[in-house]
Amino acid sequence: MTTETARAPVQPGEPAPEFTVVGANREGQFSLADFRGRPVLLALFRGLY
Amino acid sequence: MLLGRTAEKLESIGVQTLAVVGSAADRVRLYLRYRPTRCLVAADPDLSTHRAYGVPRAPMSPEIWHAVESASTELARELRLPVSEGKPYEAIGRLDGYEATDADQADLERHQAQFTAQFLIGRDGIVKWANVECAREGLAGIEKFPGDEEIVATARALGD
Repeated sequence: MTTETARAPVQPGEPAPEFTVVGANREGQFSLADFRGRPVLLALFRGLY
Repeated sequence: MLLGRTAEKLESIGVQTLAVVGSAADRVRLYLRYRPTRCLVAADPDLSTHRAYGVPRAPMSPEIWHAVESASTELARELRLPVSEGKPYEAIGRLDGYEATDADQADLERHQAQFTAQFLIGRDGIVKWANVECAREGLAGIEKFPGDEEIVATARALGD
């Protein structure tokens, strides 16, 4: 199986990369900074195919 | 799909959950009308978050498609759903009422085989734990999600 990524998956011990996403069940945009100071599980799903 | 039970358990130990779905916000909002969840859900149709975190994707190959269909068939069996030959997705889709559209199909063609992943990020902004679909067991791991127990135990062990 050949995969393509711009970088290797982030590993434990690395700083979490910044991101900005649009809220679907709450208004507004959300970025990593919104969670600073509190642990967060970031779960990345596929699209709704 | 969207972590409701896991998110509730994590919330009880002070860990927030953000689910990012690779579809447009209006499609995700429609989906959530059928399957509401208590955790925070966001849309990222361009998969920019997946790329930033290095979550792999691959061209959709017959091998990957077969693995996805097999996993869906297994899930449909576990749920005791009647499945037409080769169409486990339809049976699972009927559970929540959500019907895929041309827009969803266009996303699939654009994204190809995008894998999923979960990252537990500490209060200091450092990744404490990561799980990438298929990283541990190849295509046998497709559509598999770590159990509540593993994620919650990991979060507790961090003591963060």
